[in-house]
Amino acid sequence: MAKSSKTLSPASGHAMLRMLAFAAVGALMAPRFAEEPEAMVFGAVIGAIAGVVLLAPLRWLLWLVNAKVRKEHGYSGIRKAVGAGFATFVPFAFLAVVAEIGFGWDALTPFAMAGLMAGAGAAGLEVARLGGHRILNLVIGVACGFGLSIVWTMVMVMVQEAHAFG
Amino acid sequence: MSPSSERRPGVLRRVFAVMADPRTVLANYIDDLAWPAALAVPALAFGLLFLQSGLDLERNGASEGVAGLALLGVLLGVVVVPVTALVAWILVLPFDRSRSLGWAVRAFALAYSPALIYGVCGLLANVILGWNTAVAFGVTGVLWAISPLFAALREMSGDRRRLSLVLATVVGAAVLAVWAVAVGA
Repeated sequence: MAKSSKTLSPASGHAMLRMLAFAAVGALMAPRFAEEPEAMVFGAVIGAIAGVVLLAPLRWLLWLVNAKVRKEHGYSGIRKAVGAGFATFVPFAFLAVVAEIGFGWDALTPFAMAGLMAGAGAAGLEVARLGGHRILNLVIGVACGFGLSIVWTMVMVMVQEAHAFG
Repeated sequence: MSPSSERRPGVLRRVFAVMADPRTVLANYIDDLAWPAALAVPALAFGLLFLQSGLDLERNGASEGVAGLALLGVLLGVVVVPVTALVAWILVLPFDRSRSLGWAVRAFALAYSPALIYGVCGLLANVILGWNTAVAFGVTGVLWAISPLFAALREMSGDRRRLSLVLATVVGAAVLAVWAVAVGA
């Protein structure tokens, strides 16, 4: 059998893992919105889309403040670095699945928040490794992660309130 | 100034630095870290996690012996972390042999620095505010250790990220499972 000429690059591998991780978190979140079984599939799709959308502001901010990196590596360099750094989110998502399904804990929020902050911080450091300012990129990464986790918490609170009054 | 006379950061400074930039600390400041100082990090981190679990259980009327649980945590910290480091070191041997077993154990131990910091904060909240903190602070701290573990595994495996991701996930899951079984969570 002829070997396929198309192989996964590390960046695309990270993208797929990251997408699966966000999809898993979305699927776990879905039963909090609706009890129908198909809600988990819908949640997985929304989670995967959210994973792409949520990284955009982080990439944009890091692109904005890293003139040297921008010049030497272009937008694709920053995109790959952010993707590689945000791969740190994958173990958190997997452990959230283990905790929720395996142990029966209601622990999605702390797992997701820690994962978002760790992933965003790591993304900032990966961009710093390309030649950017270490502290500045770390602060931007952690601040973005903090912002993402605040958004997450607000969504969860709104969902709980909607269920309480619905 | 010669490299040997370069001023090295203290253990406490390394503990905080691991949380911010684990890869730089693990790559540069592990070799001269004394064994007792390294193993004190997971021992204290796990001790505080189990102490909070004991306090939570006692507060909720399911007393398990707080001091006994805390001691169990210290023991698990000293035993589980070197064992996971040993297994991970063996698994990455076919890919890279540049890091010794001693380095791996000390790096894995220092990786639990975030768990130690969260453990101290959680214990304060538990005692002063009366909150149940084992999951909110304790487990979150253990989760934060995944990022330094990932960094350590990248160093050990010659920057093989996917392998490091898988191993960091397995180690994190194993540690959580040990805690869950030990405290009956």
